[in-house]
Amino acid sequence: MIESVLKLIFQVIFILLIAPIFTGVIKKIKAKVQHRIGASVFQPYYDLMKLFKKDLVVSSTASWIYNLAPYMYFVTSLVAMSCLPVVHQLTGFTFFTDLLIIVYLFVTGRIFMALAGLDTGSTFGGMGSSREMLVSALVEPALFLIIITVSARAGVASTNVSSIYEFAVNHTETAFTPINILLFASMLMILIAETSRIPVDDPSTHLELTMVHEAMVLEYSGRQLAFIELGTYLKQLVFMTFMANILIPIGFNIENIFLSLGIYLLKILVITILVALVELNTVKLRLYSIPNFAAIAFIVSVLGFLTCFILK
Amino acid sequence: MYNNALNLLSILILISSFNLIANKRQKAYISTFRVQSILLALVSLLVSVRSMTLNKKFDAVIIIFVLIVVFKVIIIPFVMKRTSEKVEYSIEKDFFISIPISMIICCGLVLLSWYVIYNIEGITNTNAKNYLIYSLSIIMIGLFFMISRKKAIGQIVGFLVIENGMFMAAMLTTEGMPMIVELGLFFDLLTAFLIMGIFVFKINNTFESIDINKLKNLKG
Amino acid sequence: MTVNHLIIFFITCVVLYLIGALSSLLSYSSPKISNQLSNTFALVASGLLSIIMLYKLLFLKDISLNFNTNIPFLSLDFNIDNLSAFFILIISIVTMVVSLYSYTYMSHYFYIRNVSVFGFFYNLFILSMILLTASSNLLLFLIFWELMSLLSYFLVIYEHEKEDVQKAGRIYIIMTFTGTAFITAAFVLMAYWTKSFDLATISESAIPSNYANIIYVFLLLGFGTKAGIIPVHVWLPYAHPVAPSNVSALMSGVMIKMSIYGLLRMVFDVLPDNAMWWGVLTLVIGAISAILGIAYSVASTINIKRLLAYSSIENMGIIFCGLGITLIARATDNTFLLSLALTATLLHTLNHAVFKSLLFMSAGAIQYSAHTRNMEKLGGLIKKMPIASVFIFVGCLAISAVPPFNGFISEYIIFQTIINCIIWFAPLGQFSLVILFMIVAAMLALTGALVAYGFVKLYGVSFLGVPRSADAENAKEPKKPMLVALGISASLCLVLGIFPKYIIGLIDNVSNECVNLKLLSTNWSLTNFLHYPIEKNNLNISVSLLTIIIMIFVGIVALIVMALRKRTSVQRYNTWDCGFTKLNPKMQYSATGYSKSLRIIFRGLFKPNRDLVITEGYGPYYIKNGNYTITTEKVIEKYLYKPFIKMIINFSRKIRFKIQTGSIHAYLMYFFSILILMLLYYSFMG
Repeated sequence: MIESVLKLIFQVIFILLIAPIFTGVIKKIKAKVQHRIGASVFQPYYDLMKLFKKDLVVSSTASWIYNLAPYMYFVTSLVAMSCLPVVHQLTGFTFFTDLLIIVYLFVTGRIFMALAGLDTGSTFGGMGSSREMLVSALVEPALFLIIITVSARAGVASTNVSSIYEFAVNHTETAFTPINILLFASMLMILIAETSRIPVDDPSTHLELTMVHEAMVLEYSGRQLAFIELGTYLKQLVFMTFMANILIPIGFNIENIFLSLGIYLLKILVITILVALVELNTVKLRLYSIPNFAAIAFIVSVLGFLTCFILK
Repeated sequence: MYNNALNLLSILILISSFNLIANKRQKAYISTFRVQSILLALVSLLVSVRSMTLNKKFDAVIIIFVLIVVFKVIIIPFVMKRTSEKVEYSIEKDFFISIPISMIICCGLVLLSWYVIYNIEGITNTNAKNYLIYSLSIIMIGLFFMISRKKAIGQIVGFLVIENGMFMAAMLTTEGMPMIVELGLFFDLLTAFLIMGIFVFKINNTFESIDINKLKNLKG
Repeated sequence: MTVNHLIIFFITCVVLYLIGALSSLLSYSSPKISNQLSNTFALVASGLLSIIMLYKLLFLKDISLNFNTNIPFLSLDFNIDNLSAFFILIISIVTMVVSLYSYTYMSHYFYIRNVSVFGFFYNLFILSMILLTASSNLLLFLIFWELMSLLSYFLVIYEHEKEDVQKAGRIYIIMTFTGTAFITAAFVLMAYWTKSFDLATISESAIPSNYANIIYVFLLLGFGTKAGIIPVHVWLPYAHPVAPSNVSALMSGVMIKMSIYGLLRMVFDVLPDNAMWWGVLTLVIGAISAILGIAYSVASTINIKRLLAYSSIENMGIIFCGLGITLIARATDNTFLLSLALTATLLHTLNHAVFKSLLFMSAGAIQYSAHTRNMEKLGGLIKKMPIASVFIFVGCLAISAVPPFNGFISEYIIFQTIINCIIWFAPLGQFSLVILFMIVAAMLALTGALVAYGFVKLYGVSFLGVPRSADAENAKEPKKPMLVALGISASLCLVLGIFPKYIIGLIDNVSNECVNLKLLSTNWSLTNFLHYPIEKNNLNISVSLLTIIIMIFVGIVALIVMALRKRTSVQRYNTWDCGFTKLNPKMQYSATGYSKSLRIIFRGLFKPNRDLVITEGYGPYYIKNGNYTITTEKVIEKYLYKPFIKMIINFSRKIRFKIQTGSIHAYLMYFFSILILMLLYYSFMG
């Protein structure tokens, strides 16, 4: 028991430490391709440090929901991330390591953020919150289909992560089968939509017509903003870890923990590069084209499902 | 002896309904109905007395007897008479179908009910079969009477005759139904009678006549 | 307690409700006393009843009562088995809270309307639902069903002089009687084949399968109308908003659940074998109701209670999905799946009763303090009614299936059921079913996300931001009984969510009676917080432990924030206004605007129409006045009901002159000739 608690604590600290770097990497890749030098890959860390030290400006119309939301967003992302084992099975904690719990934790965080967007009474906040709820609702069916596919494939009739991991570890040959590739592609699109990246949302712009996530958190400053940022990094890492460990189940649960860790980081890096490439090669979609994007993600996951259970 | 008496009474009731069909005047309807009710009261008296003498205990049918005497013999005919005097009163032809043809149709109805009842399997008691035939004929004659008369009084009397037929069937075939059912029937009858009575006044007020054919004009 | 004690207590409760009804009626001269009497009796009776039912469910004693009457076929038989007890438990818990709430809520009707008549109908309405659930005779069931419909109709049209209330009442009574007609037809067919109206003695398997099919379709139509399943839902979005809020809480929380009870009762007691397509049909209409219900709820409402009414349609859709899977599992003889699906159905029924009654009471509380149900006129209520808003927030979280509140656990089990179905049917080669389950799962996922959308809209627009009208500005915290009722409901949401194992234990007793299988092991140790029912013990989730983990993380974050707070300061300043003059309440995102994107995406469902009228001043850029109206169409009513109604009206117009001549003799002639024809047919053909 003590050992698994220690493992959990180690994992939480580890993911908190590595989560921001991948955003830095994406920015760096984009800069390099655009022939810019770009900020250091550690820039997100510097930003966070700065934000933690800064004073807060809170809207005078805001209520306790506004003040609570960043922390709830962060905590739900963190709990979701601790559901997914990074390098080893978390044996003692199967009671909450469940894919559906991860999804509903994200829903929780999103509800708090969307309410916070409405809380200040600003038009931007409302607009961002409305759009964020819409985008995440649209990709939800695809996400559930992926979860159902991976868990029903494991054959234990449960969405529990441990059984799915067990199946993945014992079936490393599934890594590059059509099922996994289809699910991977669908998951990549969901990752893009959920973490507000191009083509669904542009994280670097502050133009009201294009903003989704940024509009919602427009009023935040200081440590509250830092927690939101950190929460987003963690959320991004959850999706990446899912893709890396379940859809490419190679090198997981190896005895040598450092080797295992290295392989994990490598896989995440590959996914990061993929995300950066997508960002570079597409443009932001109109808001009403996002349903088409979500539909494509859904169709790809349906194909994955059908390949898994029917077309065999 | 007992069954003979009942048979006789029921045939008399049937004949009284034929008599009703043969009546031409509204006033005569009421007195015929009164006669029929008296006969029905006698039936109930006979049934109750016999059951009381056989079982040596109180029988609820005697209450029915009292009710019939009070309402059907005294109150309802009285009220009806007053009603028909108060509203427009003129001697004119009150039927669609001529009396002889009506009588033939009624004979056909009796035949039909005889045929229907006769074909029911499971009624072993021949007396009960006879009573059922009589009462079904009375019910159908009552319905036919309602159809063949123009004035509203005719409809009321027809309705009451149907009720009488049902009473007779109930009493003679079961030797007295549960009190609650009898009372329910009676209550129904009274309410219907009251409503119809009120309607007769209303129709008379509106059309200055109680010819219900004029109700056609109400249709939009 | 022995069975006799339970029976005595049950009769006591019935008598208490009756006393409540009569005493309220007798004390009509003083509305205050009459309100207190009716609610006190209802409260006491419901409290007692919930304890009895809990005891009964735990210790499994059947309560049965018989009164003989002389009326043929109709014996006053009451029998409370576990299924009935579970539903009576739901009724009594909800009515207990709602009665407490009514103390305050009804006070704004004092001396305006007749409160004593309301109390009379209110108590009788509750009693009719309880006796409906307890009756074990089809005719008795039908009588109480009718009573329930009628009494709820009287309660719906309480504010009867308003035009929209009358319209809602009319639609409600037409739809509810249409539904009852189907139920009656189904019952008559059942009685025809089984030769009995008594549920206890109805001989099983006597019904030929093609008649069983007809019976099920009739039952589905009849009970579906009460449940508000699309497309027979039309009464629900009208009736719920216009009824007083405590009535809509009862109707949405409890009354529409009676249809689930009826279906379960008939399916498990009277129809022993069911075809696969029954389940498929139920599942499909359930999923469609879920997704259309929530889409309408989010996108076409600005009235809080209307939003909640549509959301009830959605939740009934989810419950029907569970029911559909139950029937599919029953047709394939998979008892584990059957038991799991039944558990999901019953659990969601309970959970929905709890959080939906909380939300309807919240809508009432908003109307009580802000005098409007229109979201566009609310805003900023979180500062005006701080305590109530916390409870309402809990309700919104619970319905959005946020862990650890109760909505989460039932949705979780429904998804698990679907996954189990896929695992079960895929190797059997029944691919059409697998694809069906896939589509249903996707639809339910979208539904779940849209629920969150809708309730963020409800809470965000009406409670957060700046007040949009003077009424919202002057809103006050409601009085204590109302707050306590909201608080009890909210804490029930939390308790049912954190300790689902105990509730599932109760439901296990119910499904054990219907299916003969228990999901939970009998091991009830405290260290074993498992609730998810599989043999392998390490594959269970525990919401209680999840809550503890979340609390630990929240604690750590709180400590970090405490540490940071010492070094930084917090400054209060206006919301950013792009450097213009100060923001005003009209600049906030409105309820209509919040859901606009959804309306555009699902435009086929809503047929939205925009109309912008601009009065120009000195030129095109100097606008004096702009008027923007948006309308949505009720597509189902327009394309399904309107043509049907038109057809009936045309038909009636035509036959009016042919058959309905106005002559009484003709009408009597109809009787007479039909009588003669029947007699002739009987004697010559029969």
